[in-house]
Amino acid sequence: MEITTFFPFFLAAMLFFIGMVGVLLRRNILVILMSLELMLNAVNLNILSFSSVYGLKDGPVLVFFIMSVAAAEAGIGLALAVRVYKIFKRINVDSLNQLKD
Amino acid sequence: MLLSLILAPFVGFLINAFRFKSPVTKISGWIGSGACLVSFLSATYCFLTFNFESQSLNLGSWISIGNLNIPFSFVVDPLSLIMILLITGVGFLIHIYSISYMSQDKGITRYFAYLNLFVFMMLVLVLADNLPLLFVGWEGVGLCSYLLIGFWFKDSLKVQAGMKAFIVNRIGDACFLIGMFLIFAHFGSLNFSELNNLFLGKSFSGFLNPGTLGALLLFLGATGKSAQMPLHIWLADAMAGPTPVSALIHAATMVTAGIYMVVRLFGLYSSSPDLLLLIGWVGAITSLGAALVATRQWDLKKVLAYSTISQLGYMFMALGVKAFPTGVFHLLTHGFFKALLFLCAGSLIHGLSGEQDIRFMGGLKKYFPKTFLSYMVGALALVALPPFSGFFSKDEILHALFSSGNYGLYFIALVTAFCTAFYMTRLTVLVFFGKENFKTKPHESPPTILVPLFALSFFAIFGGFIGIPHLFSGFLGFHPPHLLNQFLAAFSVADFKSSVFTEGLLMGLSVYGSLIVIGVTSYYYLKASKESVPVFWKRCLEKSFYTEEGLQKYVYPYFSKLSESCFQSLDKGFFQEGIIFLSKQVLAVRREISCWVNGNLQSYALYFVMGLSVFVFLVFLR
Repeated sequence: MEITTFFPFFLAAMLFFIGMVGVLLRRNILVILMSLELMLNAVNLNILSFSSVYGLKDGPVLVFFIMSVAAAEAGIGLALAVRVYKIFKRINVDSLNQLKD
Repeated sequence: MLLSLILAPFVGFLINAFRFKSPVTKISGWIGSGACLVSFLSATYCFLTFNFESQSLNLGSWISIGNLNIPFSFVVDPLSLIMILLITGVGFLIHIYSISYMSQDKGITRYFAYLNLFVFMMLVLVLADNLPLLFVGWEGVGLCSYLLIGFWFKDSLKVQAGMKAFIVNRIGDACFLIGMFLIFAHFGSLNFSELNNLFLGKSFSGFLNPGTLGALLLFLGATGKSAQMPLHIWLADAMAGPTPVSALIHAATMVTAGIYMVVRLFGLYSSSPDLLLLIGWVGAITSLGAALVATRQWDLKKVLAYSTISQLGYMFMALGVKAFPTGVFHLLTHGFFKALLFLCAGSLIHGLSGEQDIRFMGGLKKYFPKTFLSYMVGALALVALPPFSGFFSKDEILHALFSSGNYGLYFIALVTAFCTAFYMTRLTVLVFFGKENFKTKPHESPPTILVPLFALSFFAIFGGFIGIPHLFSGFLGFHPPHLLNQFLAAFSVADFKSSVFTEGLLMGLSVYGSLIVIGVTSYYYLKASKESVPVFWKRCLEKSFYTEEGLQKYVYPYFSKLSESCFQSLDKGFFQEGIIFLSKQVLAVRREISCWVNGNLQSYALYFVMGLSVFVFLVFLR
């Protein structure tokens, strides 16, 4: 009982951490977007786990909303990635440094 | 009703202010007058429905810090009712007058915008129920005064006169603010009725207690606004503005704000007899000095300006012996007849194409028959001959001064009354009689100018009947009530009683004395060809006792040195250098840390994560 309650939170934390490391270390925009999705879904998992622990019904509803918003956001992110590729012929975040100083 | 009373002039101001470049200048005067008329009708309604319970209107909180609570609240009580009737009534007549007086001017829309703003600010001043809100109106009327004195801003002298009025008033206003702070710091309230209740019935001697000191500082503010002794120098120059402005702002309403303020705080002031004595003497000296100076002025409007200073001094004398309702009485009648005199002067100036020097007038009686009639009403009221309004109020002041035992003040007031008779007779003879000295062809003014003159003449004749002295019940056969004193009963703290004989003697002395002065003066100016006044005395009065020169020689150099050293040490030395030093430090820090901003998206994400971790650690894991 103790392990089953603890497990989803542990999994969510691990997923979030993996996503964070991915965002911080990978240069490829597509991978960064994927890592972002991973972090987002870790949060979703967290919400679901909490709502099931406390027996609430609105957690899953909220998660559905988050997923649909995330889909839209991923669309924008991918469109930006396409523009970046068309301009720089690469898809690395290093090229997005034109605004410094 | 109270809301429309206050807001109508403000709406008029906004309309005219937003169309001040509009080529349609004809209607701006009617917009301004209409706004003022709405205000006047509301004031009349307030007066008619008034049942001696003060109504108030709270528009919410303005400042609320700790135990300092200042609401936007207005209150209608007998005193403010008298003031709003005077302001909106005389204001409306002067708006009507201005329509044709200013019709040739290009800036007429701007003019009416300022005039409406003035009426609005003056209403805020007299309706406010606490000192800071009164101060808003106080500053607002000062601003309008400045704008209207320098209305013809292409003439640098007029602009300078406006700036002078503004700067002299700043000195008084600084004192006013400090007084306000002092009172709040010691008594924790700035509400008029609370302050009055706190002080009523108490008595403090000397000047060195917080209440008296605060009241003294507020009075210094009043000397600025009401042109009393140390700070009177601006009013004569303020005549540079258009004449209706002089009538409304610098004779009937704004300059009486100081008297209004003292009466409003009658509890506070009547608790300090020494301060009241000082107020009385300041009024007396100002009154006599200004009346003497007025005897030797050559500018038509300046004679009237010095006369205004002198009459304001009279009102302060009345306040000095605790005759608060009497001071308000003279304020009211003076508002009528002095506005009337200024408007007559404006009518003459208008008809003579801008001539103001009385040496170039003379014999104008047959060219301005209607203006002459109204002028005579105003002049006789100012000289205080019965049955004109000025007689009742001035006689009441003289009686109050005498029966309160201040014989010195009474004597000065009497001499001032004779001086008033002298300079008004001189002015009348030089302007309307004698030989014709004018250059242009004079013409009588149009009806829009004459109608306000007649309306004001009516009040200047009959305005005094609201305060018929007790003495007259003898030969009237019945006992007429003193309506004003009954109306202002809440503000009277002293009773002035004397025997019928004394009262009659005082009245006879001032009236017959004035009559003799008028007779001698008119004989002298009509028959005698040369004036035989000692040259030094003449110069002295023409220069208004060399106040200006004295100030320029003995005060301004030191003052400008003080300002200069403040500027060099504080402004330049401390603030400017300090800011430059600080900005250099900021730049140095920037050089150190600007390498962090490298444009790399992922380092920013790292900072974000680091910051969030620190935050989470501090909040949740401590």
